Amino acid sequence: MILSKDEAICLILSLSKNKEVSSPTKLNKLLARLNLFYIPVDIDFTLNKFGSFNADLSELRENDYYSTSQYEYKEKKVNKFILKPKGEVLIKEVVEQKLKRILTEEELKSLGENISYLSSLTATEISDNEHSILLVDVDDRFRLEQKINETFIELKDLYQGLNDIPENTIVEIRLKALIELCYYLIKYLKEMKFKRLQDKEYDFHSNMFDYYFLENIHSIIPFLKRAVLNNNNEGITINKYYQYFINSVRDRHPFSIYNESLNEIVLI
Amino acid sequence: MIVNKCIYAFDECSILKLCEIHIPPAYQIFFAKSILTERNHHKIKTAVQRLDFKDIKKWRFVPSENTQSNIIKVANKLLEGYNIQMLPKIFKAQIIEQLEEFSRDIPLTFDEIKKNDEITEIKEIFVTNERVLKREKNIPEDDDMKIISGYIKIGTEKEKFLITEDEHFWGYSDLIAENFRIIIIEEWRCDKVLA
Repeated sequence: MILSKDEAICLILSLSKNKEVSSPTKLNKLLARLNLFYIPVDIDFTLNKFGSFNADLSELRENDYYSTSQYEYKEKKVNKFILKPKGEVLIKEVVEQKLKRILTEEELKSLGENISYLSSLTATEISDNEHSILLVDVDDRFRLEQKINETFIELKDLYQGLNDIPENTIVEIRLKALIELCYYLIKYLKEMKFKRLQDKEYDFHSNMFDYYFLENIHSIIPFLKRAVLNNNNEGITINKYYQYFINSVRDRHPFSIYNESLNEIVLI
Repeated sequence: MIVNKCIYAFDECSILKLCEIHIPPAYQIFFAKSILTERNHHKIKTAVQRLDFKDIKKWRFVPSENTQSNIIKVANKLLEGYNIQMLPKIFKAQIIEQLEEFSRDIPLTFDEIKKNDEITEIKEIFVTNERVLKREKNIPEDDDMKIISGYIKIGTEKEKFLITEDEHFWGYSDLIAENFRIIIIEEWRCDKVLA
């Protein structure tokens, strides 16, 4: 499950105040924020030299689902994006069906409230908060390293218990896949991507998803521990995490089942 | 031979085996191919194509309460004989997801026969004529009997066929034909029978 670029943009617009977003920069930030809600979107997010990140919206033009409208702000011409009726249909018929498979009703409501709130902030305000969560800034390298070590130890324990989980239901099978995925992904980040974190100036070439993955896996560990003991009521949430880690990068990150050379970086 | 006047129904596992699994690129080194299918896939697909060509309806039984276990069963069959060393749990989950996706579309291509809960008399026949089966428990499951009961109920003089790999059916095929006038076609022979 993955939201296409148009589906993701329509989702953001539909949840934003007045069903519009006032600039491409803000739309960037809101789209990027979907990663912290574990919603896979088919958009590339990259770091830039200021440690900030961008969704690739350079080619974004008005289409059947949303329109653009130019206005002046501080003597600059800015485009705002507005949801069209066809975009609302896309939300009802496609996006909501997809989201129902990964989000509970409460989570859907919370997503709506959050995006609506974030849409009332400036782009800088949205971005600042996310930087501190993700430890993207150079000054946070030590904390980043601590976080990856701690996450890896926790996952090692969970992974070692994998054979104790039966495979009688789809939820159990998916839970085991999720734990396997988290363990090997963090192992890869720890032993390859962030191995020489202290030696380097700063890895501007890092994939933004290295940070999203670490933050998101770190935050779901308590859930994974609970789910191992009792996963019966957690099917949707397990699916949410699984879909995110499998689909959010596809061919845009080396640790992906869509990478035909994955076997070269899975450290067994 | 396919006859227009007959009814052809498939059990759920046989329908699921029509699914063609797209092997994610990372796993293709274990298979040397990009599509994975169950060993009877081609035969079932051939039979279905012949029915489609003659514009004959295909039927299935509802409600399908065992979809989850059927999906797992077919996924396990798909993995038989392979030794996936890299991230094997993820691969299995991927197969299951594609089977789930496939099963959501089944209602679009198969017509429905409602299972029937009245199975007392049917059960009595099986219990009286109990046989020793090789792979399954001797007596068919209640759900199998609900399929038979539902199939009887559709009240037509047409000849009825059931394509299945379940030993609970083919292990009793003569009994089922004699008592319920349903002809069981073993899944692995369906392309020959439906020629």
